[in-house]
Amino acid sequence: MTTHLPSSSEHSQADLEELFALVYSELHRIAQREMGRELSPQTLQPTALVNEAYLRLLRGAHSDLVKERSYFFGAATRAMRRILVERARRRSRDKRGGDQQRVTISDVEGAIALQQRQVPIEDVLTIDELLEGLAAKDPAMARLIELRFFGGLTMSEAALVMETSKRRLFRLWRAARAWMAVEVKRAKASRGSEGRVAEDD
Amino acid sequence: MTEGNVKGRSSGDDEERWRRQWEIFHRACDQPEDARDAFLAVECGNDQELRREIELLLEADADAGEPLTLDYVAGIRPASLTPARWIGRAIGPYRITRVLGEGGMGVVYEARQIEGIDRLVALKVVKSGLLGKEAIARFDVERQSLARMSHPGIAAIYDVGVSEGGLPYFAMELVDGASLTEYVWREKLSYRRRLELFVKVAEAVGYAHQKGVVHRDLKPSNILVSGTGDQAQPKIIDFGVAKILAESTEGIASQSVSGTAGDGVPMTVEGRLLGTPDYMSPEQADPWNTEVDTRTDLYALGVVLYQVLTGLLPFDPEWLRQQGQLEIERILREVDPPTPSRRLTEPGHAGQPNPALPKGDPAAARRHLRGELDWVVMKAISREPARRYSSAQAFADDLGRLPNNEPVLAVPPTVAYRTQKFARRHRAGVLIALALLAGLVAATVCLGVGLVRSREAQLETQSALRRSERTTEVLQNMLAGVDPIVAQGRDTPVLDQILLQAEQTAAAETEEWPLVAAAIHHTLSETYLGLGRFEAALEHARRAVLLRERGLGDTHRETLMSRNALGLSLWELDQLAEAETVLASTVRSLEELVGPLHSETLTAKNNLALTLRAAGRLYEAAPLYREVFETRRRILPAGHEEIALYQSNYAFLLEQIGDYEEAVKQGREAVELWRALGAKTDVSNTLDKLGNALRHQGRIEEAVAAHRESLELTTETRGAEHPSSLTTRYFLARALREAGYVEEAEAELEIVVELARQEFGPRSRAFLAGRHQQVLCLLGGGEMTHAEQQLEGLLESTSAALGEGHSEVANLYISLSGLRSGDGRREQARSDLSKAIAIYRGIFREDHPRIVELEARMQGIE
Repeated sequence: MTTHLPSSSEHSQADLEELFALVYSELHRIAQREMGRELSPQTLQPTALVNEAYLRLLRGAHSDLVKERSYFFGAATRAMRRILVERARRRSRDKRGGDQQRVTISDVEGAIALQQRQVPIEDVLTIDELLEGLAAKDPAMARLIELRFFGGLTMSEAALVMETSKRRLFRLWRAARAWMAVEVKRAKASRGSEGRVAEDD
Repeated sequence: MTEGNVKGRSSGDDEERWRRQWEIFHRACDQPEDARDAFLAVECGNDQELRREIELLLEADADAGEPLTLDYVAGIRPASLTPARWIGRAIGPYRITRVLGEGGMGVVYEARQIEGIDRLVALKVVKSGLLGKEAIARFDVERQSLARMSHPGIAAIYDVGVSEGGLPYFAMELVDGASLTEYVWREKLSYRRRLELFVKVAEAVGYAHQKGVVHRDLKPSNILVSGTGDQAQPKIIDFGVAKILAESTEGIASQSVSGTAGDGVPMTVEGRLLGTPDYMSPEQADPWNTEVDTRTDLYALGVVLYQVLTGLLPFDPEWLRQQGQLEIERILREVDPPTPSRRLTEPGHAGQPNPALPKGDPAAARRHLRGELDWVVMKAISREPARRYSSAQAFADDLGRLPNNEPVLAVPPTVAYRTQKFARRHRAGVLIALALLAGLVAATVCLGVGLVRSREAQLETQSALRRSERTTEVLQNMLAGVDPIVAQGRDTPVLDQILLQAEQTAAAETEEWPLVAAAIHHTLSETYLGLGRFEAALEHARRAVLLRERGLGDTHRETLMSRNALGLSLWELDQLAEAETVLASTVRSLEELVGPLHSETLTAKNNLALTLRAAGRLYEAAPLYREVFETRRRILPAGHEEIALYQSNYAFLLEQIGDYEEAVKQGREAVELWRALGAKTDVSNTLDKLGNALRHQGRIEEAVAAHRESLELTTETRGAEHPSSLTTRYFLARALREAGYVEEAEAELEIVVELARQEFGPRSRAFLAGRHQQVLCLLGGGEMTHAEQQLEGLLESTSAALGEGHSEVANLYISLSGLRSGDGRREQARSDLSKAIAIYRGIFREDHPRIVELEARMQGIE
């Protein structure tokens, strides 16, 4: 792992946008393939996807952009979040169509915090919305949840991206996972009554 | 909704409230549970809303339970254990003098015993809340078994108890020394010294195992070395501690469930990857597994030896920790780590001075490790417990043999064993056989373990254990009668006797102990496969399958393993239809039983792909190859040997079915992987196929380069006269001729034809194809008539030797057709070409590029 954290001047905004576009398309492709695969067709594993994207991009033409792991993880998390949210939106649109494949994400640090190994993709939208609200109030907590849940990053990786000590993050994470558990439950409870009508078929 | 969303507060209030909420939350987390209510009452005062919110958060925190991420465990700790706070205070009859260290389970202090004997002890204080009162009663039993242990290599456990405040503790002999690895590296011990020291450790472990005590958490920091030189004495600390803790907590769990579980029936604590994963055996990493026994210690011991020899762990710890818990579990269960010598050649280690090595030089260390030391370590850390050493003593004994150059029990790891025929034929079959036989003793002991895995089968455990005792007894009797020379694996006729004896034993056991007989048949089958005696392998596989189906059912894992061996034997004997049936159903059952990603499933799938390919059903085999390869690539660390193996297999097949573009792509990647692994033979094999694919793509100069490099490598590793050098040379000659280097091609062909005649005779494909190319060289020189006669002669002899439908016959028709159309005999040329096309149609699908190309050529003649 690289211990060198580049100063932001080493990468222009254009570089970062290019990196994001690159990571997004790579992740999207891998996710597409995973979902089409017969072996484990209905589960996405952000950790695995992000690692694979990293290795692939590292071999590709833009390896110098990817090499700074902290930037890569940041971009990959944003991209992964977008992919999962898009997928969840599509799924909730398709819901009326009946005959669903059950889509879940698994192997995520955040999922484990929710005491599940797999999270139904519907919950992704809930968490996405909750994070929007949280970002205004406590950006660090929101960022950490995003990195852990959507990016599937380990604590060490998250610490690298957030440029802070692991010890501080442990403390923050303890609060974050409690907050997430409470709020997801709340959001579901308040939505449950509306949702049930539609699902009853 | 959260507090912050309530209307009527300014945002500054919100911020303050949010900050305060978390501050109280964190401080409450640090309070003992029974003190939290009072704490919250004081901190929140009248603010019931705030208090309610924090209570919810604390509840969620408690539900989240023991965090599953490894680095997470180390990060959070109840304040009651902040170690320095305890200095000067007493726990039980011990006054704490200083902090020695902290681990996952708790803290270790140096303490002075206040009552009875005046001595310094190491006091391990366990994380509070880990043990219940009922559990503490069990300590007495354990204490007695620990007290019986008295060995210079094991730190004595004086006392186990619980403090007034409810903190469980262990008082142990205080050892003044460095950890094993620190010591070895600091003293720059020679390999001989390292092994001597390690043998002492293994013997101490063996002693404890004999007393029925398992360590469960062996690692260098638990092995301390005091003294120096000849006086160096390793001492293992914490022996039996992990087991007490695990059983005590499990005891609580089981009592609350049924009230009866307990003695000897192991319970699983889900998600219990709590310790360091570096020394954790695959079975410990398996959440479904309930059995952790002495072989688990032997695995950890193997990892320690790995580290002592190389300064490195089998898996890079940084990398491992980045994988997340589920991934770590899977890696430990499914991935073979590199051998110690190979680990030193990995990027970042090769060529770098390594202070952990005796001379600091990886290259020198690699030469020393390669071969038997590699094998011993790899045997010790086999993923299958049954393939490890049967006891710590056996491990120590094998290490003791090394300096005296005696043969060891361990054999080369056989990754390729199930995947490629060639690999198998060139391995030391005899050694495999003996190791398997010796391993059988362990394997059958393990039958019990296999059975406990399924919950329904727990009742069978008792009889399984009795059965394994019986097997052990039988095999020991059998092996006891064997001459020592045989045990060293050097004498084939006597080996036959052992095998025969095993067969007779199996027969004798069949009636009363059918599953014991099945285990012997199964092992014999694998042994014979290893020896290349396929009829015998088939017979034993059939019996094993039959007995296991009867005794365990069609879909039991053991049955499926035997079915896999049966499929392989059938494949070897070209009984492909039955092989396919057997393997296809095995794949299906394994997919259900252990999942599609499990290495056993993939192995069976790979064997199925081999079978389809051998049956000429290349297009059906291709997706299987692809699937096996891609899955392995996804779950193995980059650069792993198996990835290279599966990728080159896949490239070979692509070349055969005419997907040259993809074949070139996969082939090039595979070549680079093999190159990085330093596997010259495999680089050469893959280059051959790559060259052929390039040639078909018309990239003839690149093809020449590939074949040239391949020939150099294969000549270097196997000698110029080896059959594979012959094939490579033929490929090179053909490419040279097509690229226009006719003279050079002729020189190579002369060697090909001469060697082929000597080695394989004039009816061999190598000879006939070589002659064919020679004639084509003549053609370039303009000797038409002579060439045509020769081609016709070759056509006749090739059809007779290889059959009318052989691709080499088609190639001859194509040459003839070209020659004849060249001087205007179109009718004849078209007839030749249509014969060639007919032959290729029998081999390939309609859309194979070769057929398409020939049909286009046909158009050209018209």
